[in-house]
Amino acid sequence: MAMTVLGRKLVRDAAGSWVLIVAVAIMIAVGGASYIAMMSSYRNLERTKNHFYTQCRLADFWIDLKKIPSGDARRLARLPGIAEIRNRIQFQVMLDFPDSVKPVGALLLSLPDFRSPIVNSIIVRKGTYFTKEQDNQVILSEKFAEARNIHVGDRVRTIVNNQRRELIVVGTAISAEFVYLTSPGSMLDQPGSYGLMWVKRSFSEKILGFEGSANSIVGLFSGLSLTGRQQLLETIKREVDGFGVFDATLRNKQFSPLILDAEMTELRSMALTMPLFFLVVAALVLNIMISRMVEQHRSVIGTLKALGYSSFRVGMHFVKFSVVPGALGGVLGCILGWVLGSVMVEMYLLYFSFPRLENIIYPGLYLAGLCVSIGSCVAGAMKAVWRVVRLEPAEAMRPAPPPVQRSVLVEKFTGLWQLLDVQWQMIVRGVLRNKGRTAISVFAAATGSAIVLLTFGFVDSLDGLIETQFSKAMRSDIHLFFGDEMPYETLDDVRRFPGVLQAEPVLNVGCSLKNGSRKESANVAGIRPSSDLTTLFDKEMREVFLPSAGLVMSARLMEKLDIRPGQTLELTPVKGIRRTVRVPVVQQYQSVIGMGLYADIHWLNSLLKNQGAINEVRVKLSPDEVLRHHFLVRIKSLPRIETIMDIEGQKAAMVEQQDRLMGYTAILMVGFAATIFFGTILNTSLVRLSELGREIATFRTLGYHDFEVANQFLKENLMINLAGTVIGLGLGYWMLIYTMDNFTTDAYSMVVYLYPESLLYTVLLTVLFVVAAQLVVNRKIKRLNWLQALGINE
Amino acid sequence: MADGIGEEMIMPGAGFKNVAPLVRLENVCRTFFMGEVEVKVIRGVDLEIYAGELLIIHGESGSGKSTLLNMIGGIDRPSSGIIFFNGNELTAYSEKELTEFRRNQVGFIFQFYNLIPSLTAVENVRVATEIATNPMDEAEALELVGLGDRLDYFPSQLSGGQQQRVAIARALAKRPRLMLCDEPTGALDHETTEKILQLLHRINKETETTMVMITHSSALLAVSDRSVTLSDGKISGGRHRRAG
Repeated sequence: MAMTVLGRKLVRDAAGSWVLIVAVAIMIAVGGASYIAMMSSYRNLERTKNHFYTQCRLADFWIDLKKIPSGDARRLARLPGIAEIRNRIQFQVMLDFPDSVKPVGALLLSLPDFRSPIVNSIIVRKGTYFTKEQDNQVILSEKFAEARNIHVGDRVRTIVNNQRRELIVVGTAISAEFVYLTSPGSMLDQPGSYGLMWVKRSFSEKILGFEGSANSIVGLFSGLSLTGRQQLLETIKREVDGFGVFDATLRNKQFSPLILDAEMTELRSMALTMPLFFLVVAALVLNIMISRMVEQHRSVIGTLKALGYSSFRVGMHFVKFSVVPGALGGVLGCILGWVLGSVMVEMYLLYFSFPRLENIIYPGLYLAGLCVSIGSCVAGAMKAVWRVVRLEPAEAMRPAPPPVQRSVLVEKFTGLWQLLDVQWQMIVRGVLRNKGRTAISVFAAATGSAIVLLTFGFVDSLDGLIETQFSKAMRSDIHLFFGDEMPYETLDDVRRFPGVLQAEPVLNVGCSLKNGSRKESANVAGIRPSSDLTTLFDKEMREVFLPSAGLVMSARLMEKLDIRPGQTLELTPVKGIRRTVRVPVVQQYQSVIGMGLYADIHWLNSLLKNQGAINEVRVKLSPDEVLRHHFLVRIKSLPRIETIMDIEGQKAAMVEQQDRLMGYTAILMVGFAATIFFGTILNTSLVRLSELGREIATFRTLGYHDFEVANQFLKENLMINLAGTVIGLGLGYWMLIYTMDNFTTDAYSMVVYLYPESLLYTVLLTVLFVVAAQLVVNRKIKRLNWLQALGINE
Repeated sequence: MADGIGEEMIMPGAGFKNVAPLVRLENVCRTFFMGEVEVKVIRGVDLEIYAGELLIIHGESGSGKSTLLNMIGGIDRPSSGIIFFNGNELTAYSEKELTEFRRNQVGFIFQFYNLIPSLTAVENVRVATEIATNPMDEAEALELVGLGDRLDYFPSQLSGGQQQRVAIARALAKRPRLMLCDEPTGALDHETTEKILQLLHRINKETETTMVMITHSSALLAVSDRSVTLSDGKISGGRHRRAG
């Protein structure tokens, strides 16, 4: 079908204002791309997760116990509501790599000797499942094997139950149970220093002294609501109470599913909020642009109506014009969204273990992105289009009446007004008279700078977290965890090791906590009251002192238990004499990882009727590399060590992650914010340029240089954008608090940090964006035809 | 018949006497509100326009000529009074009917041409023909106004006179029954004015299109069928030249 003549007009008009259209289209593209990228990532994750969980038959509940005969565990399957039960053996073990002085740990898990469709099964990626040949076969987690460059057929040495064992690697695998894996107490996955080791059930029973028994029960429910599941879990706990239950969790509280779900929830909420900023700003800017266009096309509108075009058709012409940046931005957004989606898939594969994660094109989603892009542009144009529809042809034929010029408020302060030169007076008048446009520009600058501040604040908060966690709260280098409670003398043994500057005792006690109807499980860490290596802080970063009796509880846990400092709760240790006692909660502190609790080690020992037991030693090492090396070699020989936590390694991994990921994210986000500044400044300046054509020509004929005229625009843009930035700083800070709050789960607590430099950088970036956009405006001013501008007829 | 001024003189020329008027205005008034000020631009005009005639409207600036023309052309509505077109009450038309009326019956020619800058000459004509029911070929229309060799020129590439010719072709191309020209030569030099007026006169004669024109040109006054003078929103006089 041949293009209508109005269609041609549309194409040519659009080509004539391509700078403005592209500026709006880019904002739309960023909005559309972030929606498509995040939403498709969400769907990719959901799809893969569901498939993976089904494939591995991921458990609905987990119960950790001291030891239970397999027969007793199996009997649980008779309880109504339970579909399937599996018992297994799991242990934290240390590995011995000749090439690595740094401690390497793993979670050892039993699997049936022969492959069968079990709950929490694995997907073998390389090699095979266990064969009949050797007892000491092991399947390693894929990432761990890759990071340590271990291949099928290689041998790995472990220290299990104080005995060195050599295991033969028969395969590598992934498991839906450990999509996200970190060493105990750590925030990040460090694939080379912590992994999973699956061994034959018969072998694990033999080496761990667990013949005919287990210490982990996993199972599936048959249907049941969440409440039904919680009740059934309580019943199971009662059934196996005599076997020393450490922990019982439903799937939604289990670490890896919890982290994955939290990430997905955050992703979805971001996918629905972040694009809004870009689309709203683009729509508002387009409103400015089309409004001006309607003014310029007044007589054309009148002519078309006089020729017999209906108001609807003339209005539609402008609607179609607004579709141009919408469609262009939408298509760009789809492409960019796909690219970003692919990057996000790669990023997720760094952190999560999935059989595969692909960036799938969801036609409905892309179509929705396109429709939203076009829709927001049409919505933005509607106000101006409504004017087109309502404009009477006879009225349109007459030149627009000159705008009503009244003195602005500032002029009433004569003294102040007189201080301004003519150019400043023009700027102030222009800014205050075009209130709608000024408001849109201020809003856009506020949004742009809020995004910048949010990004900087996010980086600051991670920096702050690293700084607080590793330099202030935890000043130790290595934490040694023992499988059992040890006498206090173990501390002296550690102190005698080379390179140890300080060593402090810790007693960790897993506890059930109950306040009224609220119940939570948590670990109470008993430390020395005036510890040099562990310091607790409250939300305002003030030091929290350990009371001689009672608990210091993390804010998150207090919230969950609905308890306030000064109140008491019921505490039942899950190990030893499981006597319930009422203890006071004395103070609150800000924890980073998990929902922690601290107490005086002596008070905790007396509470448990222990004689000075410890099960962890926190060590500060000498900076001397040789001494450190000796220390790390020596501790491997220390008996009963279950895990070694490398705090330094964790810090290094955090810093690396911060540099690697946040660097790119920050650049991307600042780039996104730049599109808002550019798009808005360019549009408003060029629109203003077309309005002020005659004034500018007059200035030029009076002998003003083009840069002097351009300065007026620069001053105006700086004034508006800096005002917007001031609002944006507040808005960004609020968004930062909101985002950090969203990132906080039972596993991690995020605290807001914002360094003063970030505020300064945000302001400086605004200035930079304004100046950069000004370069385009300057070019336009240079090219302006003065004589024509002076002779404009309308 | 001798020229003269008087009540009887604004009656139609003898050639149109026994024909029903194409357009009839009865006590038409138009008031504008500018802020709090009420401006009565047209104050009770009665006028009949006959098919095929060339009627000139003249008057001082601000006398309401353009407003009157706009109301006849259906791009503005009277505040009171009735306008009939071909026996139908134009003032009772809905917005949609008025649009149809402008689309099929009226051709407008404006002082500043009102061409669409981003369209070529032929495309500017097509803007009208695309929506008309029985239009002539765009090239033919441009040929008629002497611009057969400028079809693909943009307005900015044409002189003022040429631009007005495009506007005339645009009005002409949809074969309107009524052509309304609002000072079509107001922005042109003397020589071009002559040519444009000759062209309009020729079109009136050859196509028998009814033409109402606002102009100060004495040349056209001489060849027009009739003229009315508008002052202060009222018809204050007129004359007709041709006898039947």
